[in-house]
Amino acid sequence: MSLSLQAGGSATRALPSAAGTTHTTSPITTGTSVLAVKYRSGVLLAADTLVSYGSMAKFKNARRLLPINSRTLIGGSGEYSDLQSVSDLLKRNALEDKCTADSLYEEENNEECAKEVWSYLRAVMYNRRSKMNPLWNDIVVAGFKQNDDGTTSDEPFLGVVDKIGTAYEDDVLATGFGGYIALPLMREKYRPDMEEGEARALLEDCLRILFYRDCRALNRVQIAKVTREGKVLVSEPYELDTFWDFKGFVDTKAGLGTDGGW
Amino acid sequence: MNKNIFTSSSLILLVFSNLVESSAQKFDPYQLNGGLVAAVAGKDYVLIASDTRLTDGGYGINSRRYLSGRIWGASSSSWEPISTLASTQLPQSSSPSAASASWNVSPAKWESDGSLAMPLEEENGPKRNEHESRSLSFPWLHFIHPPSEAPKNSPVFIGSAGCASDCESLKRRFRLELDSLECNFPSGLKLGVQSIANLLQQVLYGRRGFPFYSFCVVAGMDNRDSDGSTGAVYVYDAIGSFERVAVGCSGTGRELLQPILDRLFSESSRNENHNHDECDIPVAAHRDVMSVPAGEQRLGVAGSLRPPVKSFVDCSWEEAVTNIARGYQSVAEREISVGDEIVICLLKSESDVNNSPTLHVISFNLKKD
Repeated sequence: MSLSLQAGGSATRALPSAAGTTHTTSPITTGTSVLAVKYRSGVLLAADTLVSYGSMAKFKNARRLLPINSRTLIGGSGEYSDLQSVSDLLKRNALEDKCTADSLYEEENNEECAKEVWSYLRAVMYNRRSKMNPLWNDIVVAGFKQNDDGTTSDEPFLGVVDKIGTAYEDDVLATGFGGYIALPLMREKYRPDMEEGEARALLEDCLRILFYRDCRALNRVQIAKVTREGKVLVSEPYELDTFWDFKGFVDTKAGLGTDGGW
Repeated sequence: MNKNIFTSSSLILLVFSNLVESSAQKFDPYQLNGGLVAAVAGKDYVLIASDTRLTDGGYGINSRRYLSGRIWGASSSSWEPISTLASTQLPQSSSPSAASASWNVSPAKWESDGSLAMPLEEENGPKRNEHESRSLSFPWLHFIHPPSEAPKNSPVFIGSAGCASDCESLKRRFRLELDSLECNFPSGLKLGVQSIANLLQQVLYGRRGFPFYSFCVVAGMDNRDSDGSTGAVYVYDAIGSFERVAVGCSGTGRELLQPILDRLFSESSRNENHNHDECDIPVAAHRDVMSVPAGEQRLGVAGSLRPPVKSFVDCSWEEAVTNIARGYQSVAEREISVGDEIVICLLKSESDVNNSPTLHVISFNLKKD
């Protein structure tokens, strides 16, 4: 069984079914939120490392922040297998770009910039949704824009594509549950001239809050950055310290003898 | 043994299908991402407007500055400057004197493909004042970026709202069709607004079986008239039905906006010196406010017939901009997927130095909640 993301690809991940091929119309193994914010010298991404199988915490060290080429990062939530195949596809493209860069035309760097990757992903996702065979992901793409001559520009890029091909850019982004809990906090705290430390503290605070409130989240997280100097760095997974002794966590509602709800 | 395998595999099947069903998510290829686009055709101008809120189809706001799939130039071909607007050329003289202080100029922000995009990181420009934006007089209008580059020919704009991914795909599909048509024309001849309107109908209807959830308006200058060009606006449904109107809107909240605009524009054209101090209830219209009486339809002795509805409004562009602003503010009060900001592209066919149309982009704040 082959898996093809290309237009015209026919194979799909089939569920065992008597009626032959069935398309993925709901996710099985899922990662939760990805958070992203622009800061003074680039873009910062954050995600936890949990992949859930329904309500079971299945994989606790799964990496969802992935460098695609030397200047582009993606972070994916949703179906993890789909994310892996998207990553394979993009890395295949990046390798092809690298191998076909033509020194005769002084192409030192033939790599796609983040905006190109984002735009390409939009087309892939839209194509698949139009075949009613979606890639069940929200994918954040981060990097830098490109000048007309192909050199990397100073302007950071941050965009997201969802499973039906909706694509938009913004200064702060959050997918999944983070869209409800983290995004308002990030919008409030965001400034274009944030230092890396500030931006990282913001993302870690948001991840911690997500861990408190999102049942599919974990406190083992990764942070990744793309910087103006053209560096793509993804941290090793590390654990956030948590604090469970907040009064609101300890005491039941209003201190009354209620059913124990918060 | 065989039976064992059968039972265990069917057990797995059962578990699997349970898991699939328990997540209870069915794939829906559509999402209504909100957005309300409107356009007004005037005698010597046309304007197109959109809000910039992108919702997730429910209560979530994906982005507050989404525009590239909402208002776009019909063609992606060369966008060469016809006139660079300096701040002194902004219509300060024609606008109320109180307003001139709050017009702001910032660098053009056309994407290279001819779509309009909001500058994401706010540059050093003045921080917008929320209080200022709530008053109902002219001053809260301000320029964000009169583009330094504008298309060579009179441009045609398309506004689309609905499913954002469909709108984006429609934009690309439409430009592909248009560019492949125009590249066969001699010496850069461009399609007029009515041809663009027809082409959009064909592109939309081409997906009749699996429609683009894109609710569109088209706005451009109609150059066919002998006495100069007039504004032309067309409004569509998702599968390509369309008609030419004077004032049209499309997208989420169009049911709220359309009657408000109809009313506002019929009043501005009927009563030029409307006195707001008097408590006068406007005369009830006994017929469609946009209709043209039969006696006024005939042109000359053996002339052709005018359409039975008005194809442009009589008011000035300042009034049109104000009416649009008031309309959007009203809708934003009651429709959660409309808000954040409104951007207006105003195309004026004024006979300036080059005798070419000028393009202005205006924005102001709406409710953010």
